[in-house]
Amino acid sequence: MHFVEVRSVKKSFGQGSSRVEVLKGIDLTIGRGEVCVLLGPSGSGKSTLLNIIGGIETADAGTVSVNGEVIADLREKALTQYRRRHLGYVFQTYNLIPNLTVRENIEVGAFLSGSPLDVDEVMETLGIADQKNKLPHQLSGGQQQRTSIGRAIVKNPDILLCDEPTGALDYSTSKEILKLIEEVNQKYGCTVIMVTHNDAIQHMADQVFKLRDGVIRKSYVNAQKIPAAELEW
Amino acid sequence: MAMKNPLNKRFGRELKSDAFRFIAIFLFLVLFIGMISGFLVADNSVSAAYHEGFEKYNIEDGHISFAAAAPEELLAQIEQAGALTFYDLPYKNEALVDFDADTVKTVRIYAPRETVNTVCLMKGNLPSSADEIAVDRMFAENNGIQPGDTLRFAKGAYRVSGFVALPDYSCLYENNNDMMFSAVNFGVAITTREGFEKLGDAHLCCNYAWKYNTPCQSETEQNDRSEKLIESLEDILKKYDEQLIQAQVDAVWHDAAALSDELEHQFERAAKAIETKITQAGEKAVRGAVSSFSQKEAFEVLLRKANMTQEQVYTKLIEKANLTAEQKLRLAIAAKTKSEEETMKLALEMTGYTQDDLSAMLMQVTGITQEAAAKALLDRYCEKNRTTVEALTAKQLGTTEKALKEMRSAFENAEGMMGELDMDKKEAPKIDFDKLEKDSDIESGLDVSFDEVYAILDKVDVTGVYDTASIRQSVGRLEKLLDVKIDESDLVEIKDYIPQYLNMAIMFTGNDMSSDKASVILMLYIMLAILAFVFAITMSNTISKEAGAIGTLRASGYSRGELVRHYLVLPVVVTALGAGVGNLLGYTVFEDLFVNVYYTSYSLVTYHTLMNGEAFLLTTVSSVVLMLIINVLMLVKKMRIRPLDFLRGESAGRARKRAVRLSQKLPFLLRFGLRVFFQNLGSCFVLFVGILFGGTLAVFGMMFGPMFEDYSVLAKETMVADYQYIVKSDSVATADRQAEKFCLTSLDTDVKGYVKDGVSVYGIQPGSSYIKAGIPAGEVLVSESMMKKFGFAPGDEVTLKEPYSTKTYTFKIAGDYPYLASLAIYMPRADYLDLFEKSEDYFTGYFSNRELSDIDEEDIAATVRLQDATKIVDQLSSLIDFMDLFLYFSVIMFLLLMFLLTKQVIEKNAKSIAMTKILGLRNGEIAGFYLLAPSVAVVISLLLSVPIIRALLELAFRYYLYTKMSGYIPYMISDLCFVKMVVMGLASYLIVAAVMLRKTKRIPMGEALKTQNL
Repeated sequence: MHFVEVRSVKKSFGQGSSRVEVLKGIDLTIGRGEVCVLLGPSGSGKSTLLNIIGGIETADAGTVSVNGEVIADLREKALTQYRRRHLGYVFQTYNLIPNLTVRENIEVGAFLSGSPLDVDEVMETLGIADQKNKLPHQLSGGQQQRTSIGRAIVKNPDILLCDEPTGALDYSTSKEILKLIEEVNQKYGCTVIMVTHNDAIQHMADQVFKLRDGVIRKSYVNAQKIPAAELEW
Repeated sequence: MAMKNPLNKRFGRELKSDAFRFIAIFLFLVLFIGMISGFLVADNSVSAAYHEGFEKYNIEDGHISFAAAAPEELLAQIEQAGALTFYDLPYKNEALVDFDADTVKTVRIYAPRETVNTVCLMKGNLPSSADEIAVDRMFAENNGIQPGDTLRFAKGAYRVSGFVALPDYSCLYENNNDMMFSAVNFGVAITTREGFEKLGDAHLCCNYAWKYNTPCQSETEQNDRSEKLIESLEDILKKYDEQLIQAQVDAVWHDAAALSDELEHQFERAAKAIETKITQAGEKAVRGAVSSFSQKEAFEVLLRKANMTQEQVYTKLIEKANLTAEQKLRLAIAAKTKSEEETMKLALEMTGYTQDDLSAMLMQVTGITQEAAAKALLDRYCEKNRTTVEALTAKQLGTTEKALKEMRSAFENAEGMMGELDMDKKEAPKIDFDKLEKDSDIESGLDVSFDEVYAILDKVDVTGVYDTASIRQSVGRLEKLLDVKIDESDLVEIKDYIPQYLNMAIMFTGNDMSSDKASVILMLYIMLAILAFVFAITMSNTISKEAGAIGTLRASGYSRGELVRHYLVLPVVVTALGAGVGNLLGYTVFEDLFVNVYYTSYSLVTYHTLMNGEAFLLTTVSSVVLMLIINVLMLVKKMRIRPLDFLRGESAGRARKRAVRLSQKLPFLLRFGLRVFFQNLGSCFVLFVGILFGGTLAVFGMMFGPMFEDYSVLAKETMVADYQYIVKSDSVATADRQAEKFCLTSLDTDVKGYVKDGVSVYGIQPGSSYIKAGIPAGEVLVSESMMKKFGFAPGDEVTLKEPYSTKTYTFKIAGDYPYLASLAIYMPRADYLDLFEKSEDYFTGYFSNRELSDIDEEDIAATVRLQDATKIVDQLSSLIDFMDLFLYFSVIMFLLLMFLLTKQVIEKNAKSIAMTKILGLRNGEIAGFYLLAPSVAVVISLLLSVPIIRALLELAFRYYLYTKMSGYIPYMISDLCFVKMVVMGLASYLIVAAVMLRKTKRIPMGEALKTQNL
């Protein structure tokens, strides 16, 4: 049994003639502790798939199970609990709470967990310990994203879902962030599912699924992962 | 240890970053809830003191006043019938002398009270000598009277020993039917027994308070008992008055009986004397008639009567006379040769008989009696002289036969009449009290006509046969005796009857306090709901701003509940804090304020502040609950949005509305403004409700001044006459020809759902020059005031009740009459006299447009002058100062709501504003774009409020003022009030707009560059 199993997942939006089938039957499995990259152009359905795995979007057909638990069967409350226990989210837009400091924004994640990581240690890991008392608007984009990652991983999630985490960042900051994600994965052993349209990022993944028009066009396991620090684009 | 929710750390920062808004709301809540709580605590404490006072001061269950002191036995009867006990509580209404030249200040002075309505001393001492008086605290304060001052009345001066509160005058109503009390021109006071006596009895009111022997448990019971008591009273008083009148009748009857007895004897004597005189006169006449005949004539008459010839008579005479033969021969020769006369003369000579002997012999011979002879002679005499015996008798008496005849026949009738007059043998008549008119006399109870008696005496006088002087004197005495009017001075007349539950002076304070409480709580909830919506809108905007973060939190596992709770905290905490602090201030600062308001309106007994759980519950707990409910509903609705939609910034949810299509023909600025307006529909709606509420308060605060002024003018204009004199009796006359008599009585309304009102019912002369409207017979005209107050229409029937009685009258309404100063009904005089059983010449007073100087002051019971039309306005005007509070409050509210909601609009669009700045628009243009919507919303709300407020206040007037207060004031709000309200609203908005313009200028362009949807 795989840690994450996606079976025949379909999803469409809209009604009638404007109906668009975003996912046309996706099957994939991800092992525990793996870094998985969902790669594809805009509109390929990768974010929708991530959201379905994250339990904030429901599939029209098919199942998603995490650690053997089928999340489609969960009701709203249980789904919230599922997200609370197992997931950490990182978005392209950092979505930090403007009037909480860096530390406090990370504490918001810690608060959700029964066994959170040490907040200070996480900040050290993420290199934002010096900024801990700053408010989001005093930070650079990279620092904000680090904080956002901190908020996601401090709860010690089983799965870290990253939706275009470097989408709004420059090259070097992007690399910094990717390095961090890699470090987090290695240090805390959480499964990382990352959505990106940046081809270069696929090389740091254990598994890569290339999507286009709602189907997985290609999937493969990286025999030779490249560390994030060495990625170039 | 469980970790504290780090989101909580936002609260302090939120408060700090939006300090102005929170402080404004907090202060508003503190002020508002403080005042409400202060009011409730004051209301509760004072109300408790007021209600405890009923037992503590043994407040009467009612009182009754009589025109004169009621006899003990009467009181005992009423006490028994009503299962109650009376307590003597007399008072005297005295006007203050040398006090205020312009206004009459009346003080109702009571003798000491020992058992009921006992006195609460507020300051100084109770009076201890005949020269001391303790006056009502409020009256004293309103008139600047201090302990130690001297108050002068017509019959003496008193030193003010202290201030008191009389528990039966917690509200200083002079008359129970007054629309409003006046603690400025009317007060109560208490003095010692000696001090009370000193005032004399000119203005004494014999008043008796009663307490039921077993206390009433409810108002219904009070009502039932009072109704029964009224019925018993009617019976008892009727019987009592009947007895009094009957006793008067009996007494007169007794005297009259003795007099009538004497009169009867006089008549008998007169009859006898007259008869004797007539007989004697008759005899004399006969004698005269008989003696007027010569012997020969008499003889011939007798011959005719005896139906014999002279020869036959001679023959018989000669046979009887024993004549000699010679004599017989000579006679025979004489008979043949001489005349009968000579022959007769010769025979008499021969026989020696006289003429009388001859006549006697003739009668003997013929068998004619003396009487028959006399009668024959009389008849002959009458025949000859063509007369009658009666005529001869009359002549003898010096009168005419006709007069004599009439006198005699009258005397025959007098026999029957004397039987009637013989009162000794008759029972005194029983007086029918119901038919007894006020001005009726005892004669009306007897079946005797003195005119008949005088007619008989006149007939006697005409004959001159008898001197009737002494009889006339007796008849006059009897007539005078029977003509005595019923002495009504001892009749028991109720002047006042008020059971406790209808006594405004006792009950109004309590009723007002509870109705005040209800309106204040309603105001609180409206205000809180508006504030809750302000919070809800603020929160809604915050949520929109924080949609991304919320989406992330939700995606990370934050539950809806946690977020709802998070967003609820600030409104609830601010409300709770505001309410808590407000409550504290309520108990300390504001309580005194409202206690003072009560103590300046009512003459209340002493009170103690009571902890008031209800005030806490109503202000603090329910405020928080209301805030919770409204915000929870909004937040739950808002949080239903999926996390993903939050992440996409779609805080309006899936049901996000499509953009309203706007014509391209509309100017760009207008379209822009409209878009902002649609975006902020919720804010605009709350703004509208707030403006409506604030505007209502503002107009309410402003309307009474102009209303009273307008009403004063109208009331004076519609006055029927410049003067109305109520005179003490219908014998009071005036030479002033423009004055016109009217009839007037006062009845009470009995309309369900309305408090009792006094109605003046007028009887108007035909072709009146004062009531210039034809009143159809059998119908009435009703004053415009009454028509409007009760919503009557022509053709309706109105039933009015006689005060202190169960008797009712129903009138058919023909139409209305333009009169506004009080409630009145006008009916034709004839109908009035008929309905109220009055005599033809009855009237109550005069209408006059001039002062009637020829009527003695003593004869005037009351005068209604032009200025009395607005008495009610003078009473109500004292309330206007209090109304300013509403005005201040509404201004604060306008400012607060406009500020908060306009700020929302600007903040919500901060990013767009920044963007438009980047695009190169000037600050003025930008403000125009974004302030257009709130500006239009404010203007439309203000304008739309006008008709709604007008309707709302009219409803309040109709359903509150008209039903709960007696009297009438027309609902007329000066348009100027609305203009002022709109101007006030606009001015408030201008201030807010200026602040917002500044705020718009200060939005940095960098705002637009923020990548986060924060």
